[in-house]
Formats: sequence, structure tokens, C-alpha cells
Amino acid sequence: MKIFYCCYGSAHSSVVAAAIHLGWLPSDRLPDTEEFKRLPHYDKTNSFEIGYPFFMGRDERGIEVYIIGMTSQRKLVKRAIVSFLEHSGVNTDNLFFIDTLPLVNFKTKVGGILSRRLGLVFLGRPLTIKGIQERYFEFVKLVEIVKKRVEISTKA
Amino acid sequence: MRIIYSCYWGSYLAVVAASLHLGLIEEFDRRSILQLPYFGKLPEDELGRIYYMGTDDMGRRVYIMGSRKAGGVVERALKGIARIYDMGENSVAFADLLPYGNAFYSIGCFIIRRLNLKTAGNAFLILGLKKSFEKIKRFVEEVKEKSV
Repeated sequence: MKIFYCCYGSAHSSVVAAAIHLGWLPSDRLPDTEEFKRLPHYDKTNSFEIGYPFFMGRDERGIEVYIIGMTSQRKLVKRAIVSFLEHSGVNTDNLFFIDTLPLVNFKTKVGGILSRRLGLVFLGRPLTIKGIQERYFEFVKLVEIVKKRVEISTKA
Repeated sequence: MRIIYSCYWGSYLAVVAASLHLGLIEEFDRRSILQLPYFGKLPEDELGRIYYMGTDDMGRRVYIMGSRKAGGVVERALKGIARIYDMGENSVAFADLLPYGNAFYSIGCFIIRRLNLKTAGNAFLILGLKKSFEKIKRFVEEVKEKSV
């Protein structure tokens, strides 16, 4: 089974969701700025890498967790992946695509543009972190829901 | 080996390129282009889905797909997925025809897709395809040579 946390550029919200999923970030308290900065891929993915799925790790159940950026074409890219796998004879029932972009607020968006698109990392990166901290427990909740869904589907 | 020809809608440039690849057409001919499989037929709400067009004489499977302007993102996603599933990144080639459109072609697409006037739109579109035809042909030859 594989989980893909998807967002615009696989640099912020998908990284945070995957990190919570894998236990790299706590679920019971708000992480500080440094904890975010230490995450692999956090605010690092370049524009020319968007689309490539990055492996983050395996969770306690052995499920593979990936992050992937799909720009504003998430439905299109998901359809491409799923139909490609179907044509290759791969069962896609055990694939989960979790959209994390709805949890991105204005601060994270502006920070992301400053850092990733304009290269102003010193301005953008702290702003992306502030934005994510503001909605951090919604990320925690999302991951909890995902884990429950996965649990149900593995039992079924 | 799979080769995916892509363009904005997947229905026009990609179909022509895939058909050239498979030998369904060789020279520019308005009538036969309009009768190609899938020509003008891929639905907008299914963009991203790949459609099988045929297998060439070297056993390569040829597909078409509409990827709007996200061809680069789709290409990286599929190559990455191929790697994850141990098919090897080189088991899939992605050929984006987006740069082979021109003004006539774009106007034609707009008239067909946005104004819903198929006959008028096709007239422009075919004219656009005619102007780019030799370039598309050369591109397809390159793809055939490279993707082994």
C-alpha cells in the first residue's frame, strides 16, 4: 500500500503531512521553527522537480509514504498516474492520494512564492512555517483520518 | 516500452503524432486526419487519462493523453511512478506536442471547445495542422529513434 500526500509543489504542506504520518513531527504539541526546517524536502523542492514523487519513509504498518507536487492540475495528474498503472496491469485499489493543499493558508502561499519562485528563502521560509503552525492541528487531524481510512481498507 | 504522445487536449496534435508513429497516416490529408481514432473525441473531464492507440512494429505501445500545459509535471510523475513500480524510468517516453501548435491551431481548438462550433473550428485546426505537419513528422521520427 502506498500513500501520496499531494500539494502544489511538494515543498510544504505535503512534507508536513507526511512527517506527521511518519512520526517525525509530534501530534500532541506545536513544533518549533527548527523542527520544520530540519525536515527533508521542506521548502526545498525546485520548480523543475515538481511532479516527481519523493519517497519519505515507511510507517509503523509498513505503508510507503510519498510526497508529490501536482501544481494546480491535481485531478489531471492523478488520472494520469492511475490510468498509466491500469494500462500496466497494476492494481490501483491500494493507492491513496491525499490532497493537502486545502490546508495551506495565505501566509504559507505567499511564503512559498517568495522562497521557491523568487528565491528569497530568508523571507519566504519563516513565513511558510508560520502559516503551517497556524493550522498545524488540522494537519494532525487530516493524518489521523488518513490512518483510520487506511486501517479500514486493510481490514476489508 | 510505452510512448505517450500528449498535447493540451490530447485529441488533435497527440492523435496526429501517434498516428504518424503507427503509420496510420503518412502525408497530410484532411479527410484521413478527421477520421483518425479519438480525433476530437477525448472528453475534457477526463484530461490526464491515457488512451491506447496501437503497438508499433518494434512492439512499443503508443498512447495519447491530454495534459493541458502540465506536460512536464505529468512526465516527471509517470517516470517516478514507473521507477517506484520497478518498471524502470526508461520504460516510458513522454512526447509533448504542445510546442507544435500555432495560432490557427489554437483558434481552431478555441472555436471547437469553447464555442462548440465543430465544423468552423476544424477548418482552422486543420489549417494549423497543415502548417506544422512537417515539423510534427520530424519530431515523431526523433521520438521513434530515441525511444528504444
